[in-house]
Amino acid sequence: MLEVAGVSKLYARRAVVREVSLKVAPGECLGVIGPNGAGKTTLFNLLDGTARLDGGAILLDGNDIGRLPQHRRAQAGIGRAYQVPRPFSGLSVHENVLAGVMHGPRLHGAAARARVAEILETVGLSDRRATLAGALPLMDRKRLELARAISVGSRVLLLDEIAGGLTEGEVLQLIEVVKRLKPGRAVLWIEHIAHALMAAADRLAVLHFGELVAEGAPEPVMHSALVQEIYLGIAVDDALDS
Amino acid sequence: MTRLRDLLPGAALLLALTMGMIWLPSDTRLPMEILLVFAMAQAWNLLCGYAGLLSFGHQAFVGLGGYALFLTVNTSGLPLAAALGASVLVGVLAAAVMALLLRNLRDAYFSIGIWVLAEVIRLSFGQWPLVGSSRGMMLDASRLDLASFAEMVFWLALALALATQIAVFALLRSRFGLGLMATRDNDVAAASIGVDARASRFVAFVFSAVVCALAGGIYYLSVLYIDPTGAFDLDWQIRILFIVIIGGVGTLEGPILGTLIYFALRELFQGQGEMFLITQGALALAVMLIAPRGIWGWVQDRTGWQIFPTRWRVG
Repeated sequence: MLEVAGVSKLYARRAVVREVSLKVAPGECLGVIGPNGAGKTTLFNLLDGTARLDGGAILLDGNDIGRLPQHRRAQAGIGRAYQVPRPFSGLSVHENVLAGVMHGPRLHGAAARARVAEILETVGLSDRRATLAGALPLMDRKRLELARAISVGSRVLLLDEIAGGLTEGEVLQLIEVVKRLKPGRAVLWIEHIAHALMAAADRLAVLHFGELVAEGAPEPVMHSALVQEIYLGIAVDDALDS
Repeated sequence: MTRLRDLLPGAALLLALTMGMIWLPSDTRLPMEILLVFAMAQAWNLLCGYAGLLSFGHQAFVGLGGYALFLTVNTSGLPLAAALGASVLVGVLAAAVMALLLRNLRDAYFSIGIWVLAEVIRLSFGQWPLVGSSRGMMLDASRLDLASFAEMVFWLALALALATQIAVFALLRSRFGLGLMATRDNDVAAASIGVDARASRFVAFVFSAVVCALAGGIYYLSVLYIDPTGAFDLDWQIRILFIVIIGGVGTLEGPILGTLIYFALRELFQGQGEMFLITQGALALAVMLIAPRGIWGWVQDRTGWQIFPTRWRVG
């Protein structure tokens, strides 16, 4: 269970994330939406330790991990897939995932190789394992990004706009992979492609100017007056009046 | 992952090269220099090719290692082994202080920052009366056994070269090496899979510094004289850079090949003054244009050959 308790982040004394609280259970996918600059990626940076907390706490199964450095949080079970894939280009696909398996669960030898094979099978990269990561096409880079994110044995999975830049068919394939990764993991998925979120998310959270302004079942949240207003930029009351 | 098949080709190559160094040359002076320069190049290659830190200031460690040895021998009366220990210690300390000062510099800023530090160290030694300022200092050779001196220095150089090659090979085949290469390719992503990127780079930096300090200690021991202009000469760094770039940065075979090419050229153009430098520059340029990953990198990209295999097996 991931519990985010009132986390804040200030830049130049301006709050870009303001007292956001969330709970995500294992096996659950929380979709995170909001306009550009709403603080979604900053929230992820707070969760995985690339940015320092200015307030609040992050509990993973009851332990506060909010002050740990990034690599210790990864070892504690936070996995992340970046918006722009960050493969280890000089290493093979196998080695990319092996690095996580050796540093997270600290597996070695045959056990490590078996775990890597299992992960590559899950994301659909088994036939690419000997390829240099730098030579992969975009869709395979996205798959590798997911493979690496779970390689540390993550119990929390942060997906940052991973469907961006893909064709419609590829987006559908990616959704299938995300669904396969859900069991046993608390998944948080930032995404602008609405149907992808609707297909995979169990709940939606809406961020606006750094604040959590709505949370709930995907359908009602997506069609709420508030979300329409934030995305379309029209005040609903004004629209009704005119 | 340790299979005999992985170790045999490298062991055979090292044995052949060692035999060559022992039997072929008529005196020990040139092979000693070759071995020391190789050790520096391979250590620097670990830092640049595997940790992604491009240093232009490793001449600082060469000079510091040399001075540490001279000061220990001349002032303490301790045996030579302790003086070499002092080179190691000074290498570690200097690397730790530099890492602290340069910790937030990246890429070209790191390269220039460490170069500036190296220059500051060179100029400071030129102002330090205890080490003879810019005139330099002689090694107190009164307690050295001069009959076997040249031999001993050669064996020290050979031991350092072999130890460096084997240590870098072993490091890269370990979990640490995999984390280091991940850090080189993307440090944020490396931290996101549990690699302590800062610590990995620090270890590689200290290792490279210690090897250069020891090489400097052994080299100036053989010369019996040290001065700041020579000991902290940027030429040490340029030599390392040339060797690693033409041989193949980020390969374990590259520095071996590069060292052999460098010294072959130097011997070939002996007495012809600047022809050596011109040829060296032209060769470096040609390799950078035609094979940016160096000669061995070019071979490896086409054949997949590794005499010192660092790839992790899939099955």
